[in-house]
Amino acid sequence: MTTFGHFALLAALIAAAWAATAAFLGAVGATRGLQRSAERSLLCTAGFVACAVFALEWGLLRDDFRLDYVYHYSSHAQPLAYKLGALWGGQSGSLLFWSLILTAMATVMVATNRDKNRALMPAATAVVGLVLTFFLLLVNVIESPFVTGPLRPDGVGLNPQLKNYWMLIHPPCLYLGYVGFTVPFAFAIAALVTRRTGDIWFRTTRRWTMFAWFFLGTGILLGSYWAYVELGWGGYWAWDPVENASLMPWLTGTAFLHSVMIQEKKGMLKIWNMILIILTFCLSIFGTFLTRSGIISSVHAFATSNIGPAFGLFLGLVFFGSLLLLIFRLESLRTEARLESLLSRESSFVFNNLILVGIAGTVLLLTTFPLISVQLTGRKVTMGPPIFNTVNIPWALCLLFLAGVGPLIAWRKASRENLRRNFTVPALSGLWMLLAVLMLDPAGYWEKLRSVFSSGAFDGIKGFYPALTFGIGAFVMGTLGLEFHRGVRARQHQHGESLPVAAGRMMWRNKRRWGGYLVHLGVVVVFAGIAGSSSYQKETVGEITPGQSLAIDGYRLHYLGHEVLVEDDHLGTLARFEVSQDGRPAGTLQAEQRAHVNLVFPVLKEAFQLAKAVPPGPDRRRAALAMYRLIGEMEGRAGREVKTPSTEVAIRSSMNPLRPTRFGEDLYVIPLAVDPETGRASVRVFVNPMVNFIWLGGLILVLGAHLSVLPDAAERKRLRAAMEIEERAVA
Amino acid sequence: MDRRRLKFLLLGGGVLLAMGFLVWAGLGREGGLAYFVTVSEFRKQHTATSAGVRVNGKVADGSIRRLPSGQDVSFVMTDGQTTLPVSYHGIIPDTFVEGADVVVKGSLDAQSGTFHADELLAKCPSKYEAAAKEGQKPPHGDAPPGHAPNES
Repeated sequence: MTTFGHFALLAALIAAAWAATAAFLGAVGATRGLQRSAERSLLCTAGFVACAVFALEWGLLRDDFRLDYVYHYSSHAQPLAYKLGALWGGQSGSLLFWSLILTAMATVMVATNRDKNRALMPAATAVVGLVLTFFLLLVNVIESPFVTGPLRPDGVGLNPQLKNYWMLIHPPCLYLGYVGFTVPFAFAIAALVTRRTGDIWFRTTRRWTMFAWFFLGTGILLGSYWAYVELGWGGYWAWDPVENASLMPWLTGTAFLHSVMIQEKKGMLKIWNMILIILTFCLSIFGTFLTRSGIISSVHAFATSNIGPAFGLFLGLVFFGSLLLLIFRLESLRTEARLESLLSRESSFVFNNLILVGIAGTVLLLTTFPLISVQLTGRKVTMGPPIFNTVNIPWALCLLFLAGVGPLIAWRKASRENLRRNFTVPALSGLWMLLAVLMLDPAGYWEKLRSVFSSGAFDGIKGFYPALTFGIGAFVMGTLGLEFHRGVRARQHQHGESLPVAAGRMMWRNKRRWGGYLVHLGVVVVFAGIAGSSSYQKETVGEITPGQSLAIDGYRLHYLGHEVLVEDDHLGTLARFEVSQDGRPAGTLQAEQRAHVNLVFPVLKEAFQLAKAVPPGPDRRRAALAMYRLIGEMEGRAGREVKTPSTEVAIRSSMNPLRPTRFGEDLYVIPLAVDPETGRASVRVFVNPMVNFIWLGGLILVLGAHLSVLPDAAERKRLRAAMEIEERAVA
Repeated sequence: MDRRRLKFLLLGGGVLLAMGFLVWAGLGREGGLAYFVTVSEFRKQHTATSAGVRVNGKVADGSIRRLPSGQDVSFVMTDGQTTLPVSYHGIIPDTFVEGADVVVKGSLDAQSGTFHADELLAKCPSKYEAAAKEGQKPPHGDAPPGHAPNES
């Protein structure tokens, strides 16, 4: 199977290289037959890569520990799902997985454009083929997943933290996002090469862009959720380089999605859109590179490896090559209209773009600053999360504000009348919300206002961010509500429909618009969640024994008792709590402090297997306690730890809408240490208000994104019309 | 250049300038930029108490002492040449084990010579690479149970 995998990879490389070459020849004017050959050869690449993936998965499934990859990322005891998921657990497997996704997308691209876009396809095929060739070169030459070593009885296995349900979903999601931007990028380049810079390239790839943007966004949210439930520090975002790497292409991709609408409607911003898609693709590649190379020290850094120079070269080639091409084609990207007024929909989109790209730029600068600093001054530095917050929160708020302005302000030039008609209600709702939040704690806000003047604007103004977020959020909700109300009322008047029918038909008739509005609503909810959970978080630490209680912010945590367990590959001490919220019983919680025994020591391995064989009951408990004692004894003797700890936090979410002040709140219990003998537990407890709004907003976002990509008859008609005009122009 | 254009350029430029200013201002502030040094470099340059420095090194084998509170730990950090005793108070990440690559932030207590950390980042130990380097020779843990030599 290993040899099979090797040759499948080699064949895939050859096929991809041929696809790129043939399509390039086709693009510069050779025969049409060459393009067909290139497309077929892309399909072959897909087949070969699939074979290689199959070979690797086969090795993982059959525990073929001769394969280095299987040895490092799998083990006998690893559950089936994680054996399969180990495909993206390590570097070479990830790169292979990347290639697999890209070939799958290439297949769809070839299949859906069989009789369409014959002019753009050659160059687009060449670009996709080139990207594939690069990744296949990496897995063939530098990082092959099929390197073999000696026969080994068992593997090292995935990290305990990676053995988590979300590990199976989050990375593929992110990869779909990263890879998905390749197709819009390829069509953009094709449009530049062929000088067909009309609106066909982005109309054809609108769904691809949405697809990539959607999966990248979902991947980021899933990653935060994973960090929140698994890593056990009570937070969900830490401005870690790897997190930033996924955020940057998402930001520029969001900018692209917006500004392309202006090109569609007005024929403006053509150069800017090209720059955006080039940036987005480059940042996607850069993101993959950051994640896999560990060039910037990060908690995620999986490996320091030798793919760095190759990636740098490729990235430079793509970036500067595309820019050069863009410069040569500037004359065919002339704008058809000009910005007329600062108060217009066009300019609100332009500023939305400016801020999105600006944030992406600062994140890029701050993330790569350590590298720059070493190059320039020879001193190593790091960037803490506070600076990212200082820089980005004000701009994120501006962006949120523009999300309310953009959809309602008039095109070209907003009249006083338009502003008054569309923004009075939203502005009032925003102001009311702001006032309401301020009135919650007038004295505190007065103090904060004074500190703005006394101790410097920076720290003082920070206190107002949450109130501002809620105010601006209410403003955006106001615009959405107004738009909804007007649309529904118009339908009711015209067609005499009932409210739900009118609402449903209105959304269905204009899926893109209402999908977009839903996404905006989701973003508002996410913002509210971030603001609420980061500024109203409460925290306490305590040491309690069974029978004792801990109180925090209306919660009482009554410690019922503890239990010792032997499971899978670890010992665990489980602490059970009875929770009451505002005097009402609120169920039980269990948090666990695990110890993954170091099975390198034969004594421990034997003892652990014996303990696991004991049937459940008091005997099992005694065996587990004996294990703990043995570990303690060995640690004393060897003078080193022979276990790896892992913490399973307990989370209780309040999702009862009847208690609005608690809605979306989490009680988050971290077991810092639990004594297996006495049960004496040291716990850290957080109350995270509104944190579930983040995940809830994410769900709304998913819904909106889905609505906006559903097939739309009117849109299809527009695309066909655009293509006909193009064909006629060419003929 | 007409006035409309000028207005757009001024406003756009203003946004970018404001962003730049925030970055510049943020760099000098607490929690922003911090110097990142190895244990040896720290020993050489920072004998006095200098706050806000991040020190990078590995957790020395057999040096971890966890207190029952679950959020206090002391250990020795090393970069192969010099060592630095560290005490830390806070949430201990699961990735914090012997041999792990850690970054601590805090300051040196001149009297005891201990580094008091208020931030501890631990990278998953590069056990995979270490194992890979051993390469041809299977690690001792792979010997079949029962036939292995006694552990130390």
